[in-house]
Parts: sequence; C-alpha cells; structure tokens
Amino acid sequence: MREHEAHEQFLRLFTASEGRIRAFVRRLVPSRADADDVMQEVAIVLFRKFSEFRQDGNFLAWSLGVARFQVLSWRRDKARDRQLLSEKMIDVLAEESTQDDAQLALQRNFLASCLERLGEKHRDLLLAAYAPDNVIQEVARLSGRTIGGFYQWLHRTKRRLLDCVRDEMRKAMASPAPGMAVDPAWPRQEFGS
Amino acid sequence: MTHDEFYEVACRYLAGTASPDDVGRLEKSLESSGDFRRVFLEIVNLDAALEERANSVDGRRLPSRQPWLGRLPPYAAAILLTLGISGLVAGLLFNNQGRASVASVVRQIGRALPFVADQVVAFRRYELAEGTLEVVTATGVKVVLEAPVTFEFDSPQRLRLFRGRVAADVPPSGKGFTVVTPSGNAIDLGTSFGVAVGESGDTQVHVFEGEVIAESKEGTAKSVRCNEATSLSTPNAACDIRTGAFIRVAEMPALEAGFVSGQMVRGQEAMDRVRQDPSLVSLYDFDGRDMPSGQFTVVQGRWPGSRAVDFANAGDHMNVSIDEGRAWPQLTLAAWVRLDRLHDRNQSLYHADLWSEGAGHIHWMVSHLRTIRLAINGSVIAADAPERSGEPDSASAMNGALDRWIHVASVYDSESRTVRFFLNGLFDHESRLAVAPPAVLGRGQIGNWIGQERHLSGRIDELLVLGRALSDAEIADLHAATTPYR
Repeated sequence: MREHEAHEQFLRLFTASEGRIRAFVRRLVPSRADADDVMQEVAIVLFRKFSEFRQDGNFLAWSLGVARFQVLSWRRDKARDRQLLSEKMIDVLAEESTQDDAQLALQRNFLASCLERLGEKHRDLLLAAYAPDNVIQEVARLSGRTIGGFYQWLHRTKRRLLDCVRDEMRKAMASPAPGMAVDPAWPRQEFGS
Repeated sequence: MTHDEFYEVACRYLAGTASPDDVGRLEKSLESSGDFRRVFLEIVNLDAALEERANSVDGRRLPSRQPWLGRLPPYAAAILLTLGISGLVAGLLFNNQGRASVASVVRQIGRALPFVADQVVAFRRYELAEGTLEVVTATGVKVVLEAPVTFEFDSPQRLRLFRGRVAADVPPSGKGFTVVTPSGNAIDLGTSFGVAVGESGDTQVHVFEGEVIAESKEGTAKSVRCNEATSLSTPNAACDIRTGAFIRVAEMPALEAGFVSGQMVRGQEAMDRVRQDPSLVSLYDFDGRDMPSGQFTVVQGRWPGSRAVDFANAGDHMNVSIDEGRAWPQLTLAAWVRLDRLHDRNQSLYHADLWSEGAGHIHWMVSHLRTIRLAINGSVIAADAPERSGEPDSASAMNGALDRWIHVASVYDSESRTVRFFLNGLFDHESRLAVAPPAVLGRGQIGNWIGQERHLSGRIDELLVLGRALSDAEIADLHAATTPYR
C-alpha cells in the first residue's frame, strides 16, 4: 500500500473507531483531561504502528490493546503525585471493559432517551456541568446551590440516569417468553420475539 | 462497603475529590467483587457519554467561549501535526459544532460509511453503497436508512429519498415529517412507517403504526393506516404490507452490537469452513457474480455490503439445480430468512420442480400453519406423530419471527427416519417417520414452486445444503458464528 493510501486507510479506520477507543480509555482514567492526555499518545502510537496492523484484522480490538498499554504507562507516570487505582486493578478493569465494550456502547446509546426524561431544566444543568468550557463552581452558582450541594445533586441525578439506562438495556435485551399458538395441538408454540 | 457508599466514593474518585482513604476503599471494593467492578465501569461509562453529549449536539445549548476548532479533542492536534492535515479536513473527521446540521448519526453498521459517531448529517446528497445508518433529526424523528440508498435532507422534517429503503419512527414533535420520492410524498401524521424506492423507480409506502398520507406526483392523496401499504408509482396496484422489508430502530442496537463484536468476520470464517466441508452439496450466498436466473430483487444481506435475495411479488422465484440425480440418505438444509409476513398458503424456501416424479424429492417451506416444514415425497409420518398436517413440521410457529433475521435448519436422516428442526441454533422438534426414502435434489426453485404459487414474502441469505446430518452442536455453532445479532 502506498504511503498516502495507508494514511487514508488509517484515518478512515481511526475515525470510525475513535469514539469507542476514547470511551474505553475514559473508563480507565479518572477524568476527561486524563483521557485526552492518553488519547493523544494512543493516536500517535496507533499511527506509527499502523504498518504492523493486519489489513484483514479487527482494528478496534487492536486499538484497544494499544490503548490499554498506554493507560498503564500513563498511570505509572502519574501515580507519583496523584491518588490512583493500582496498576493491577486498572489492568483488570481494562480486561473486563474490553469484554463488555459492546454492552457499554449500547448503554451510551440509551443515554439520549434517558436524558429526555430528566426534563429540560435538569438536563441543561447536567450537561452544563460536563461542558468542557464551563467551570463547575460557576455552574453550581447559577443553579443556586453550594458547590457541595451541587455535587450531591449531580451524584443523585447521575444515579437516576444510570438506573434509567439499565432499565432500557433490560427492555432491549428481554425476549418475551414463547406464547401458545392459536391451535394448541400443533404447532405447540410460537417462535421468536 | 454498601452499594450506596461505593457509588458515592466512585463518584468522588471520578470528580477528582477522593481522599487517599477513599481510593484505598474503592480499590478494596473493586478487588472484592465483580459486581462492584461492573458498576464502576457503568458509572464511568455514563460520565464518558455525558461528556460526549455535552460536547456535541446538546452542548450547543451552552455558551461557547471558543470557536469550533477549539472544541476538537486535544489529541486531534497531535494527529494533525503527525499527518500534516489541515484544520478544514479535521473538522470533517472529528466531531465539531460549526457546520449546519440537520440530523445526528446515532448508529452506523458498516465499514465504508462516511460518518463518525455523533457526526452531523449535512444538507447534501449522500449515496451509501453498503451498511445501515440510524440518524435522529433535530425534531426527534428516528430514521434508519439501509444501503444501497441515496438520500438528502432538505430540513429536519423533509427527507428526499432517491432510491433505497428508509424506516422512520416519528414522535409527536416530528409530526408532519415527509419522505419525498420521485413518485410522490409520504407525509406522516404521527406514526412509524417505511418507504422503499426500487432501482426502477417503483415506490411503496408501508405503515407500521398510525397513519400516513401518501401523495402521488399527480397530487392525489390517500390515507394509509396501520398494517397497510400502497404504491406511489402505480397507485392502483395491490400492495401487501411488508414490515420485514425494513430495518427499524428497535433492531439496530443488536445489529450494531453484532457488527462491532466481529460477527461479520466470524460469519465469513464459518462460511469458509462450510466451503471446505467434503459433504457440502450447495451453498448459495448470493454474493458471487453468477447469480442464478429468476425473478427476484437483490438486496443487502445480513452484513454491510453482502447480498441476499428478496421475494415480494407473485411469481418471484430463483431457479436452481442442486446435484441432480443423486440420492442422499442424510441431508441438512439451513438458511438465514427474514420473513415479511405469514400467509394462509405455503411459502417456499426450496421446492424441487419434479415433486411427484419420484420418491425423495423435497419441499422445504414456511407452511400455511406457520411452521417450518420439510416434506419428502414418498415419506409417511409415524402413526403416533403429533403433527396435524401429516408432514414433518417444526413444533414452533413463526408468528413471532417476523421483521428480523432467523436461522432455520432442518436435518433429514432416512436411516433413523427422523427430521429434526432447529430455530436460531436451538433444537425445536424431531418428527418421526414410518417410511423415509433417501432425499433427492435436482432442479427446483428457491422462494417459489413451479407447480403452484408459493412465493416467499421475505429475504433469504446463505442457503446451504450438506449431504450429512449435522449434529445439534454443529447447528448451534453454525448459528452462533453467522448470526448478525449480539
């Protein structure tokens, strides 16, 4: 493959998987800023090593492997001056996070409908707390709460969202029990959901 | 630690406000229980989703202090520097807030789609050769577009469909959503509906719930209600509702999960193994250049870019000739089927032309009883068999199997005088026979029968015939490896 074709191919694959890779990294580090730091390294390493990637291979799986290594490397750098989970625990979470990646991606997809149920006022306030340019103290002040009170509200609201997302997952995954056909003699039951 | 305490500590850790004691307790809890680890991953996953959301569509409600380029992920800059790519291209590659948008991409299934997750759909014509795309418009209308499809949004409430299939779920906020086609318009009155524009311009509107106004190019309007369909291109033609002809929003999560978990690759590897099986008699994957003759429509199969055959109209069929003349003591037939509807007549999966010209010819079908049936000419069912049809039938009816891909397999063994039925890899029923001649294949039709109208309403993908009886475990493995769902 020519160099510019390899660049294009990399960009196509990376942009298609970037959300998943970022979400994976994010699950292993405490904050968005940490995830940004790690993603910067991940993107560069993926690009540099792209020639080693088998063209018929699974780009996402390969990328998650690289990302896992980069998170552990980041953790070794930062652990000197920050309180972080142990390297062993991050590795366990990485393994389980990889296994559950598709399920967790589905959960993220259900967020939109659950946010709708919060109502516009609470939804906007919650998203304001997560907007990258906003300062949490300022959002707390605008909400009329103390910073401590605002964090409590934030935790409660997130918990409601989490319950809602789990419910949606359960509904989506549930297969209704087979029912009886019109004629009880034959066929004996209905197939499918 | 209780679950409530764990939740609080985890939230403090993620907010950067955890004490050393908090982190120690969190570590211990995570070590002690897989449940805690799962909850922790869910909490941080939710945080990640909220950050994405705040940074994209909903985030636009918030006051922005930076131009859109400043909202690119910080690591984008590293890639741009590495690759020497301009900011303009970067704006197309990474999520941004600066372009006029009409809808957001919710899910995409396919390798060659021109979107990244959460990317906006712009006011321009898109032509998708493969894959399936789910978008949500600014008015909340959820739209699934299945390739091959050419479309363009005029506004969040107006979608131009030049060819292909689209299904829309319209909430009250999107009432009036209109699909514009070359043959006329489908105007929603609060509903769920599908529109199909064929390669030759034939255009149909199918209503799954609620009501739609089908407005022809000539200006005549007709109300189409739940479980009804109409043709916009030939308004007086009979048109059966075909719910399974459309991929709808509810099916997308499981399809997406299957695709991202690598089912397509597993499926292709499984088919490669089938091709190496010395007992393989025939495999119709419909992906090659040499498509058998007949009257049918080629549509997308279970995988992005793969092909299946679609039978919709009376007379539709595919002519095949399978290993003419040989007798098979054992035979396995398996296929992925997507049923549009059930009928009070039989629907053919494979029917030998010359049924009555000798013992052993087979007719494989979805029967008028809604069962899967493997009829073998010259066979006699056991006297005490429960099947009321007198033919080997599955115990399950297909009533609940519409609108999604299902795997059907039937295993005939003339020596043990049994026909075993499997649905989605699971054993369903064994029919016992008193007389069981070896099976004979030969000239026949997939999707219909030369002797009587038995056209299938739906798609078939990967129909295979093996000259041996696959075991229950082999059928389960075949299903697990080739299912598009997770």
